[in-house]
Amino acid sequence: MVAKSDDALIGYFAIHRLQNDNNAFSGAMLVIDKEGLPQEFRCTVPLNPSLSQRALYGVALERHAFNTLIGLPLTQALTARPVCYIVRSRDLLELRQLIETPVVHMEEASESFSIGDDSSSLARLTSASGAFQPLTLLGHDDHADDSEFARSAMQSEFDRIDLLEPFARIDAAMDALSKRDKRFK
Amino acid sequence: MPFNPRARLFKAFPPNIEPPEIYHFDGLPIPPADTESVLVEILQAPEMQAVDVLRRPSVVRKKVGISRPAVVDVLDVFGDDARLFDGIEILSLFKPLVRPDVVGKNYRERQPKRISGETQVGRGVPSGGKKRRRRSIPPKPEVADVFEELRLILQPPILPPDGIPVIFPNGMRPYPFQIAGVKWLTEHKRALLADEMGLGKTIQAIIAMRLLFRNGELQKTLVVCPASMTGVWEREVKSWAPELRPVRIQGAKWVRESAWSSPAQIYIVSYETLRNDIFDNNIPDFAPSKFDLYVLDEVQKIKNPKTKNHRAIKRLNPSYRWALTGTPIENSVEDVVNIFDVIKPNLFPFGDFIDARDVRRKIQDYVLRRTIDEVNLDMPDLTRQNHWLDLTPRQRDAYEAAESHGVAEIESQGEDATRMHILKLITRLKQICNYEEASGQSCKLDFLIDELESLKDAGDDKALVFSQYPNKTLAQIEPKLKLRKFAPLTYEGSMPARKRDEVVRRFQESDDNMALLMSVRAGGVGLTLTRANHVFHFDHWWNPAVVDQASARVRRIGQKKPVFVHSLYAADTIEERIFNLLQEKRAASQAVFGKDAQAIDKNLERLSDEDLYGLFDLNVPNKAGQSGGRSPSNRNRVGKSFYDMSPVEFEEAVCDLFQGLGYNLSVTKQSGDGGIDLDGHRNGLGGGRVVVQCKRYKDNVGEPVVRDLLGVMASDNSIERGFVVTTGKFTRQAIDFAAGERITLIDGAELQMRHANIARNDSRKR
Repeated sequence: MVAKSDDALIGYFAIHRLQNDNNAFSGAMLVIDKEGLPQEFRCTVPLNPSLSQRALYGVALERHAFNTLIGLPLTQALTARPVCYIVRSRDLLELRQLIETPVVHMEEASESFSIGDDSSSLARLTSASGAFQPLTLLGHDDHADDSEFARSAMQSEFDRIDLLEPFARIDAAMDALSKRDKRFK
Repeated sequence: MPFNPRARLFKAFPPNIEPPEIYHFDGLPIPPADTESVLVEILQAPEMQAVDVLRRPSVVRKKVGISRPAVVDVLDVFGDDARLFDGIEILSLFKPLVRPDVVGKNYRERQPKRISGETQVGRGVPSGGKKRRRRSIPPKPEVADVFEELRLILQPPILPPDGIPVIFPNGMRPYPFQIAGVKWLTEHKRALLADEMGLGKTIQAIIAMRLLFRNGELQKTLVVCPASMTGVWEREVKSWAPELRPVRIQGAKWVRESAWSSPAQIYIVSYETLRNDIFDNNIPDFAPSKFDLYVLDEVQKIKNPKTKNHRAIKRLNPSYRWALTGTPIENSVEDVVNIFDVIKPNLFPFGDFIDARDVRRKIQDYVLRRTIDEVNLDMPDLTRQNHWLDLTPRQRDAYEAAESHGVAEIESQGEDATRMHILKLITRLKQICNYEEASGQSCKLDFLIDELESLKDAGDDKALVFSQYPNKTLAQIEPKLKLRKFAPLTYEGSMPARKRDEVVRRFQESDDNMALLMSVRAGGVGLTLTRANHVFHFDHWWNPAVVDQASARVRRIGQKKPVFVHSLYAADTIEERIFNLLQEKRAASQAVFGKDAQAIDKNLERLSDEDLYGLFDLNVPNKAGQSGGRSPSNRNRVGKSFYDMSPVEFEEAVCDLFQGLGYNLSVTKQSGDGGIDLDGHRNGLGGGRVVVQCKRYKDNVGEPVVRDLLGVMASDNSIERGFVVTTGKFTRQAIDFAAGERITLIDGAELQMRHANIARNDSRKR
């Protein structure tokens, strides 16, 4: 089941670590339209687990924090409703377990170890214009159709815009926030 | 393991963890044995200070879910003292992670709030109500919204590495030559973009700015332009760079203060407002250094280094300095040097002693000029038509009477008659050719109405109507066009900026207003009026370039229809005689200047006395008489200070001085000189006509003198520049009035200095 969404809006979800404290991190979501123009940007103030919290949550800390504590509230805060969310860390695919909108991991096909894999949840996205490198899309194991859904949703956009590029905007925006907003320092 | 009621655990983190966290477990019950266990990370031993039972490195085991640490199991690495503690208590001690606050912005919501002066001035004034003269409380400066600033960073790239533009709003696409211009601008911190009118210099500058904003090169920019263009800039910024926030600086002082202080990326201000705000310190928080870039639109407005406009711009010190002009200026060496003195100081360190070739060579790296022909733009066809119309009977009667009377008056003045009298008569006759006030008849208006009717029947074409005479022509024909349901709009310089913007907007967007009446002076520069594709010139300036510039409002990028330029002439009148005269002179000029259209047009402006008197079959008054006793001679002036000279000697001395500065002037007649004491031309190719008013005053020369000279210049289009020279000083009002006009003021101190320089150079030559 897929949640009701605004046509042709794509959400980008990323975790940004603070430069001064690698243990602290924020989440950020950028929603763009089919022209690549920003429609909405939401981020969390940094979460900085204490030493005891890090010890207690252990290896599960990041996955829990990234998805349950950051990803879910971000999707709930958005007024825009993307057709899917793109992530660049596989840890973030867990968000899909909490929301009804497809979440797919995207990377350049040349970087993907899964090329040739017969995984049913892997899709390949090729730019018809040839302007951009092919991409692979990977959904959550429990939602095998997500990657194909995302591929068909983004195919036309990919002819014109670089679908990985918005992550660079998120990084730049979070870096700027860390300089301009004391909550993010 | 047995429950030990005495078991206690103290854990303290090192002092560099602020605030120190201390956890204390004591007397906790044993959890159920079937609870799921999850192994978690080790608390770092060196960071722990065990008290009581904790004396060695420990491993903790957490039970139940990862989000709810319920049980901590101290393994038996602690030996016999290892204990299990119940997590219910531990949960509160360990403060589980909570959701961080979410912040951000929806960029699909309303556009950024306008901070322009007009919006704020208008606040609280009921629409249609009387404007109340009430001083409102100045608004609090708006607090910067960090997420509004992020809007820029979140925009997609404009030019990817391959240089192909990818993202522009509303599907708008710049032309390839414009992209090249954008690229050129971004690569030049100091640049003069001099593309031909209509090629979209404004758009190129905006896209280039947008690109630099994205790259983080710019934080704040300043656009300085003629007052009539501030609205155009604001609209274009919103169209081509919707993520950038423009602010127009205008209105009352407190409104401007607020606008200067408001958070924005692009501050748009007229030359005059900027000048005032800088020199009068009107803007307490205004720091010129805060701009990374300025764009000087119609930069020819600051070509005179003595004007306050020029000096105000020189107070700014951004790293990026772009100048825009559609007016070719290469032929005027002096103007080029003065403009580059602002955007690229020290390019001409010895500005007074350079030649044209030197200038062209030095500026070539900083100038980009493309013409419509060069860029191979697929522009709609342009058709020029001259329409020769017969005056109506009443017009003819009035015309004949005015000409007869005017010529008789000039003849009666004999040697006292000047070219100013001729020009005044020409103006009167041209106005009658346009519209005869007593009868309300006009052959040109009749023609215009017929044409507009045809356009109305044929479709949705619109028309611009230009005249030199807003009061004597445009104001007369406007009600007649209204009666015919053409719903004409009028655009003229005396309108406030907001009204002018509204007129342009209505004309471009509305289907109702079929004609726009414009004074050439106010509407001939900068505007984009592509909704019209017919241009009617009710009358004509001496220089045909003025007509071309006005016509360029229509034939520019965005025009989809063929363009028709209609020039209306009254047959068998002064208009026909001037037309023929200009044709003859054009042919003669072409023989001299070849294809240099600019030089030809400049030359056309320089009508001799013989040309002008000849228009009425009059002979030029005997100049031998007038010059015989007044030719400049320094025989009686040697050794005298300027103030000790007689008025005539002073004029002759100033005449000598100007000749030393490269002008060829002569002293005019003592009376009836129209306020002009010296008249002539600057030497060299394209040297324009120059007039000088001499004032041998001990005290200050006031504004009325300057105003009078400007009036003379306004009535004679051939005059390129005016000078007022005095032995005294100028009042502040006079200086302010001359600023921005084509008038240069030379006071006593400068007069002495220039005189001394020339004398020194002369002695060296000898």
